[in-house]
Amino acid sequence: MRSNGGWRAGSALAAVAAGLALAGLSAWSIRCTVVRARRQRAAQIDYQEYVELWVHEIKTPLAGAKLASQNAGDRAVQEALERIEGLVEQALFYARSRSHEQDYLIRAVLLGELVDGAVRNQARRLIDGGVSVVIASCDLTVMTDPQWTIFVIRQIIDNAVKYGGRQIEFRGRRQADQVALDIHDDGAGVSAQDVGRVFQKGFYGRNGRHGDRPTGLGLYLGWKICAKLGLGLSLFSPPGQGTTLTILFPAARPRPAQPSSHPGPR
Amino acid sequence: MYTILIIEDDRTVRQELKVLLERYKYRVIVTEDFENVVDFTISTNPHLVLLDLNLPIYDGFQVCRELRRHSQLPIVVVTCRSGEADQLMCLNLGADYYVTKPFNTGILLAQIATLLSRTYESATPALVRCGELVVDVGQSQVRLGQRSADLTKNELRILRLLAEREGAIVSRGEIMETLWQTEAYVDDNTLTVNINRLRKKLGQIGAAEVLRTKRGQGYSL
Repeated sequence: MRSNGGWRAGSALAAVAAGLALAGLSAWSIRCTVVRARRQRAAQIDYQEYVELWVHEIKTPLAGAKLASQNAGDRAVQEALERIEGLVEQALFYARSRSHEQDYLIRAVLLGELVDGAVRNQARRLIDGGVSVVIASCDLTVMTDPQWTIFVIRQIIDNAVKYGGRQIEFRGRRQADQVALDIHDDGAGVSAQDVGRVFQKGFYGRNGRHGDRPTGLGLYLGWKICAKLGLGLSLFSPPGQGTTLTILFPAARPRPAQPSSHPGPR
Repeated sequence: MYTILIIEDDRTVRQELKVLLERYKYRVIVTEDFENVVDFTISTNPHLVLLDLNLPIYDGFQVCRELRRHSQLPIVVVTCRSGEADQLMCLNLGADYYVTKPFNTGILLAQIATLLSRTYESATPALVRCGELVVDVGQSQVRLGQRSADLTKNELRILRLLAEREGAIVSRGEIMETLWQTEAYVDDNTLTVNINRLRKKLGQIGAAEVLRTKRGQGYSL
């Protein structure tokens, strides 16, 4: 900077310099923010990859433990392992539900296939809990990702058992050009002041049974996954009449519904 | 007696699968030499292979493809990956069935039995023998000497399970789980009804005492 004379020019220059510095600074800070976001994104992907790897790695020792406890006829250990398995699976879906990647595959599938998949998976829990299963009008075709949807139904079954349901009923129905799946249990239900919060993370109602504490993640995850897949999820629980969760599948495109071309396990 | 080869590098899983399958009266071969898996399989010539995908040296995909070039034997792939893409890839490589760890043993056993009978018994319908008693799966009948009784689907499934596990006590829970895997979601009361009818039918052919109840534990043949 000049010291004497031409202060005008000097101050103008200073202003320009300051302006440039400011512009430079903001460009720099923008670049910083971009770099930081990129790093965060990379860290997030890295973490998700780690969780996926971890989940796949733990499945082998888990399979070993399940087989060993079954061969030894230890039903208590089997039950505990089954719960661990459910929680491990939840971690995987939680990690995936946070990603912005489109890691699902929408195809035509029978509602009954989805329900059977989830019920079979939860068979031991339902049998040990003395819960009977009714399936009605599930021969409707819907468009969705089967794996993700089965996971959501499993969370709903898990909740129904935890809230003391003795019977769980799956009923498909057409609603205008959409298909709805109602999952009704005759358990303790959700009180009116709690209904608004059931899909919140970490929330569980006061009606949960003792000794089998809900995680408060099942319905939250179910809701997130449904949002991701473009499905609707709602809960209805009039006092004393249990709980009904409804999954709403969007209308299939007008072309004739193709039966699944996927060979799948026979 | 059918021979099953287990190709699995995890020692616990390998050992416990062997115990499980032997309990269901299969002969079981295992290998720890993962360098010559294909040659070993061809030389031992089993009726069915349980193949883990995540193997050292050559992965299961390669082994599966290589095996298919030499043999049509049934291959059941066992894996940790549950994605539909992996599933599709296995089936494209010629695997007959795909199970994900940690598997449901009921489904696995049922699938092995189906694959074996489809591959080797296509001419004669499957018979399960238990002492003098013959469970005719094809005709849905139970026979003792000259006498026979027709069985419903659920009665057949229950009797078949008990006959396959001859001598062992099978709990009500296990019976229900087996039925549930075939989409027959029977509850506790229905199971009691099914068992009572089955007992009555066994009585008609003079085999009432064959089905024993172990109070609080389950049933055995």
